[in-house]
This record gives sequence, C-alpha cells and structure tokens, in this order.
Amino acid sequence: MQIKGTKSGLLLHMHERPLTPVVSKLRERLAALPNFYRGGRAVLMLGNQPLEATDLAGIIAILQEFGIIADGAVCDADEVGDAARAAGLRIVAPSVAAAPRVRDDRTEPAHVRKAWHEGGDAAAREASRRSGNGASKAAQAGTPAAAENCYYKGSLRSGQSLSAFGIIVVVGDVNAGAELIATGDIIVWGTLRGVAHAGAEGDDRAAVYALRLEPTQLRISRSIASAPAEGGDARGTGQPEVARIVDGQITIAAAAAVRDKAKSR
Amino acid sequence: MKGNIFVVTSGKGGVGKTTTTANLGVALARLGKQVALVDADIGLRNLDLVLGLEKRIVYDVVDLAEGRCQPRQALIKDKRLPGLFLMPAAQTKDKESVSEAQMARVVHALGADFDAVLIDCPAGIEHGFRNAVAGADEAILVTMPEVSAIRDADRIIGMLGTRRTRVVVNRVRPEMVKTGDMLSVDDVAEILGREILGVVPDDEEVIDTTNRGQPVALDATRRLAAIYSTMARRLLGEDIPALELLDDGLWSRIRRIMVGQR
Amino acid sequence: MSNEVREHADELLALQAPPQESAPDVSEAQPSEQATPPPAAPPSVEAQEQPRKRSRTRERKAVSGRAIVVTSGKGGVGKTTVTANLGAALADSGKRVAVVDADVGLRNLDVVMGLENRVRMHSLDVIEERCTLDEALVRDRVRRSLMLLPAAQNRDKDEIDPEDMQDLIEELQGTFDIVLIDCPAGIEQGFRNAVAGAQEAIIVTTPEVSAVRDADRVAGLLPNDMPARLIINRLRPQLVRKGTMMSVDDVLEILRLDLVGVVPDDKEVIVATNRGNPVIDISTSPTGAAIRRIASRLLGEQVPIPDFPAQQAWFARVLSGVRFPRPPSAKG
Repeated sequence: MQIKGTKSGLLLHMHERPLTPVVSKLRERLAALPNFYRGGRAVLMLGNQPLEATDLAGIIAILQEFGIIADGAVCDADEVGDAARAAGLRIVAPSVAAAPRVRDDRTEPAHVRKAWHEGGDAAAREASRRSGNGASKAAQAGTPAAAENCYYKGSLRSGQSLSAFGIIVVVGDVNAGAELIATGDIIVWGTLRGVAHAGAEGDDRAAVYALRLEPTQLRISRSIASAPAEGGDARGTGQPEVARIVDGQITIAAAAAVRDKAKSR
Repeated sequence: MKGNIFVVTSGKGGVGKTTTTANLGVALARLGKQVALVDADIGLRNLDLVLGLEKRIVYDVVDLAEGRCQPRQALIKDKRLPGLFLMPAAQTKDKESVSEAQMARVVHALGADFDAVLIDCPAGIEHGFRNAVAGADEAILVTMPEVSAIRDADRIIGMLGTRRTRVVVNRVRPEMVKTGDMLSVDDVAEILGREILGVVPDDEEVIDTTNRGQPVALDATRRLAAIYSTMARRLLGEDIPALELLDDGLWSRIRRIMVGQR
Repeated sequence: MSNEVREHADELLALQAPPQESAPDVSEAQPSEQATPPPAAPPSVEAQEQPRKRSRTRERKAVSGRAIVVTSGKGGVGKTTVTANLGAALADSGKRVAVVDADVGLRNLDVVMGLENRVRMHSLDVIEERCTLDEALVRDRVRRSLMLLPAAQNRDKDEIDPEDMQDLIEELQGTFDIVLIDCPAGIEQGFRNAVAGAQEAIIVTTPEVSAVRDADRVAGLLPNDMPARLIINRLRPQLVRKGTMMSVDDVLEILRLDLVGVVPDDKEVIVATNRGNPVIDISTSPTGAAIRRIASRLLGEQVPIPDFPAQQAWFARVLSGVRFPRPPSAKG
C-alpha cells in the first residue's frame, strides 16, 4: 500500500490482495499523523483484483475516523468498480500518474520496457502490474511498510519520473521536465533542473539537496516554491545547496552553512 | 456556451503552432478578453515554455481530466495580462493518458467561462491530434509557404470535417517569394482553399522571445504585435480586409500578391 | 520561377489518392450544444476487410546492414532533410543506402528527395503483401545506390505495428549497408514503430529550449541499449554570439549525448528542399558540408567538428575548396 499526498488530498494505492492487512496498516499510518489530513479528501486506487466489500468498508471507515472523506476510486476492472460504487465511492478515470515509475531500463524490467515500445504507456503499466511492483511484494510478504528508498544512478530526462516512499538519491542530473516525488528527503548528486517534491506525505522537515540547485519548482510537504522568474541567469550559485522549510517558507541555503550549523549543535 | 473553441493545428511540426497559440492568446487578452490556452501536447509540452509559465505548473490537463483537481487549480493565470490563462499539458505522461471525450469535456467546460479557448495541437495526425481536435468548434491552420508544410496542411484540412478553418501563413520571407523560392500567400490560399486569418513574416527574434518565455505580442511596439492583434480581432468576428496588415513599404510585394484574398 | 514551386506543390496535392481511400474525418465531440452532426466517414475500401499481413519472421536473422532511426520529438527541426541528405552523402561514400519514410499519413521524404512523381507502392503495400519490397523501393534520380521506401499517404500510423517495422527493416538490412529511418514528430505510435526497427539512433535538435526539451524526452524513451547520437541543426553562430541562441555547449550540458555533428543554418536549404534537390550538392553550402562530415563520422572517420564563428557562412562560400560533382538538375 502506498499513500501519496497531493495538495488536494491523498491518493491511496491498494492494488495488493487480500486487502485485510491493508486496513490495519492504514490505521497505523494515519495514527502517526492523526490530524494532518483531517478535512481532506482521498482517492482510492483499487486496481483490478476482486476485493471484499467488508475490507473496503473498513478502509472508508478508518478514513472517516481521521476526518478524511473517501470520495473517489480508480478501478481497473468492472467488478472492482461495482464494489466501489456499492460502497458509495465515485469512479474516477484510471491514472497514469499515481503509480511510481521511471521510464528507464535500469530500474524497469526488460519486459515492461518492451511492452511500452509495443503498446505505449497502457501496455507498460499492464506488464508492470502483472509482474508486480516492489510495494505490493513487500505488502504480500507481510513486512511492515518498509521504506523504499530509491538509489538511482544516472540522469533523469524530461518526462521521466521517480517516486519513492522514502528517500530518493540520484547520482546524475535531473533535467527540466523530470520529477522526483519522495515522502522523505531528496538528494541529487548532480544538477537538479526539474521538479522535486520532498516530504510528499506531509513531512515539513524534509529537505532537497543538490550539487546544483536550479529547479523548475520545489515542493516540500505542502509548500511550493517557484524558481525566481526572469532576469539574468537562471543558474544557481553553482555551489551545493539545500532547500528546506524555515519559518513556514521554503528557503535555500548553501550546503556548507547547513553543515556547519549541524556541527555546532 | 460563452466563447468559441479553436484548435491551432498544422500537421507538419515546427511551423509555429505553439508560437501562434501563445501570441494570439496574448493579443486576445490585450483586447480585454478572457482567454484560456490549452496545451494538448501531452508528453512534449512547450506552450508553458513559450509563455514563460513553466515554473508555476502544479496541476495539468491530465490531472483535471482524471478528476484529481478542479479547473481553477489547473489554470495558471498569467501575471502580465488580466484574462490570460494557461491549462498546461502533462510532461511525464503520454497522449494515451486522456481520451477524446475527456479532452472535449475539459475544453467545453472552459468554453463556458472564457471568451475564447485556443488549443495548441501536437504535430502529426495521431492520438494527440485527435484529442486536440475533439472539442474544437473551429480550426486555425498554421502553415508555412513550403511544400511539405502545405502538403501536410492539406491532409489536415481533410480531417477537420465541417469546422470553419482559417489559415495563418507563418514565417513568410518576402525576398524568397520574390525570387520564386517560396510560395506566395496567394498561392497558399488558392491551394488550400480556405480563408486566410493572417500572414506573419519570418522574424529571427521570435526564437529569442520563445526561449525567454516572452511572446512577441506582448510588446506593443513590435510590428508582429499589430499583426497578431489584427488576427485576434478577426477571430472575434471583426471583418478586417487584408490590406490593413500592410502598413510598411517592406511588405508591398505581399500587397500585390494578396489580390485574391477575401 | 514562382510557377515552378507552385506547380510542384500542385503536383504533390494531385498525387494524393482519391477521397474514398482517405481516413474517416475526425468526428466532432459530443455532447455539443451546437449539435452539428458529425461528418459522415467516406467509405474506405481497406477498412472493410482486415488486410492480410505477411507472416512474421520468428527470429532475428544475423544482418549485415546498419539500421539508424533519425528522430527528434519536436517537429520541424530537420529530420527529413537530414535523413535525405545523409543518405545521399553515405551513398556518395560508396554505400548502398535505403531511406525509409516512417511518417505514415504525412509523408515528406519523397518530396524532399524530389521523388514524389516516382512513388507507386509504399511500406504498407509491402506489409500487406500487395507487392514485394523491391517493387516498392524507389531509386534516387541521381545516386544509383540510394533507394527510398515511401510511406502511405492515406493510411494511419497505427496500422503498422512494431513487429511489422522490424521485419521490414531487417529485410532491408540484408541488402543495404545502411538503412536510415525517418521518424515522424512526436512520441506516439509512429515514433515507437520507427524506433522498433532500429539499432542506433540519431537525435536531431535545434539550439532552442523547446527543441532541446523534446529531444531530452525522446532520449529518455529510446531503449537503453540503443546508442544515440546528437545532431545540432540550424545553428546560427551570430545569434549565439548575441546571446539569443543556445550554444553547442548549452545544448550538450542538458542532453549529454555523443555529438555526431553541428549543422549551421543556411537559407539555401529551403530552396533546395522546395525543389527536391539535396543540399549536399550545393558546393557552397556550409549545411551540405556539415552533413557530409556527419556521414564520414558515421562511417568511423575521425572528423573534427569545426568551430562556427559568425563569419563562417560567408567564408565557406568564398573559400570552400570542396567541390562535389554537380548532378544534372531534373528541373530547369
């Protein structure tokens, strides 16, 4: 199960079956930050495997308990859709955005890559789903929601995207048009020109580090900051920098300064 | 429905669809209209770059089509002009991420709130093209006086059905028309058999404005701004005869050539 | 002379197949308050029956020829012109070259090569077994070892699937030293098909933000084991100097691809393509010279990429010592 925080609410990935362990996992996860999502909305990504109505009811009830309105479901099969509707959920169209993926051989298995070349994004998703992704495997093994830190060696090109429930480290560049989404910190050992979203589930203490910080946009938790508009060079200082929330705003500081501060504690 | 929905298309890539969409949008906004520009080039978005709005994208048309956000959240308000809004495309998805029906719904909803909606169409005639055209009432066909571009434009006309289609002849080089190395506007009009919305001369500074995200129509002192303004007024229904475009001796050759224009 | 270009354009349009073979019009979306009825789709002969496709070869045979896809993402950066001219330059080096137009529905490679009058069959005819590959190939007017496989004009890209392309290209690789595949703009099925047949890629970009962004996207979509090289097209050194155009280094900093060539901008190119002549045959054209250098590099020669100072274009015209045999031009 994965929870992805967006500005307007939650996306909950629940493709794995049985759904019963997910119910308690969800409770654990929400209990850790009990009031954070209160008043917000959630969309459930339910996949295509049949599910138990009681499990679904249980999930909706837990969300309600924490003040979250479950009002939509993305279903990849008719019977899942029927079950969702019966539970009072609105059906939302399938989403390509929700599943973490990067369009690259190094992290994507060959058969998924091949499927993409033959049938486009839909075929690749299908191939990926059939073979199972890391998150569902972990859930099936019954291990607690292990952080899926992502260590990626190489550059991300425009249009590629990397998401992780944990920390992301990229040894390479992140080009404009690429995006990184992590519930934890993001570290780019290279030039960050794209979009980075750290603390995506609501962790205000998350940070974005880069050797060269020249992002199109930075997001930490629920805050968003654009790079300064026109005028002169869009390039950063050329020095390693870190972005974090200070006094409610995303601020960029030279990495050296941060390091020195940490030392003096 | 409040306003008309135009798809800006061409068939051939690189003839200036995105630049035309951006500049017509700016021109319409400068005339006091509420304009929504929609980038339908999912996966290869560029309208945001040309407008200089790429840093402010949070939601995009795919998010909207899939119900993950409200229209107002996906629209980016341009700070330079009241009334100019951008609905960006997604970059990390591809064109199969939205259906024609979804696109049509999105643009119709915008049409209810805006005086004009311009849809920037991707190159080609595949899924992306069909999506872009799906919700449009009328078409603005951008082409260049160059054989490949004209041929592709002709093919596109055949795929636009009964929609009113007006042609923008872009990147015209009068000196090349004179030496016969480029088709004249008159030739283009006759071959394609559609009304001409406007003629835009080639201008090497357009590349710079595109790179910097400052559409040339923002600068009222530029000749191109006046040309886009006239096109915008025509889109809004004003009947402006062709000769009004030509206020500069440099373009007198085009004046002679554009005899057959409506 | 204006008539010549005009006639050329007229001929092209006249060559488009009669209406009953064209794809159905795009229907207008519903519901619409205007409630105009969608245009009726013209009867399509081919749509009524499932076209029979030739049987697929099961395993990839060992082939000798190279298959290179020329792609870009962004339209209008010069893929087709580069493909045509590179093909001609490689043919001049003694290679047997096939250029394949993969832009089904919007074909232009035939026009750029001045062969539109000679197109009879196309790749879909071959795939659907209405003719053999040999029957569809069109020989260049001037270079005997250069052949074109045209695309259909009145069909759609999704009528070909990646395996069809693979088989087709493989067959070509059996007879030709080099197969160049002219990829359509975009990243949709047409792109995927074109890439499916290739083992190498050349990405063409211009030094502009949008083009580089799209080239980057494409580079990320190519199979990871496919070597990809970059051509920077339409460089205008005087604009780079002015600071209004990206420099070669600016582009490479983002794309990080092996640079196989830098092609300067030249007004002669559009004149040549409007007439269907290769720009490499214009001895004073720096564009043509650059493409010849790229051909040499593709064949393994170490040819340095020249610096392009702002005056290069003028100097090249005056001092160029490179003279290529001028073929007789087909059009007066």
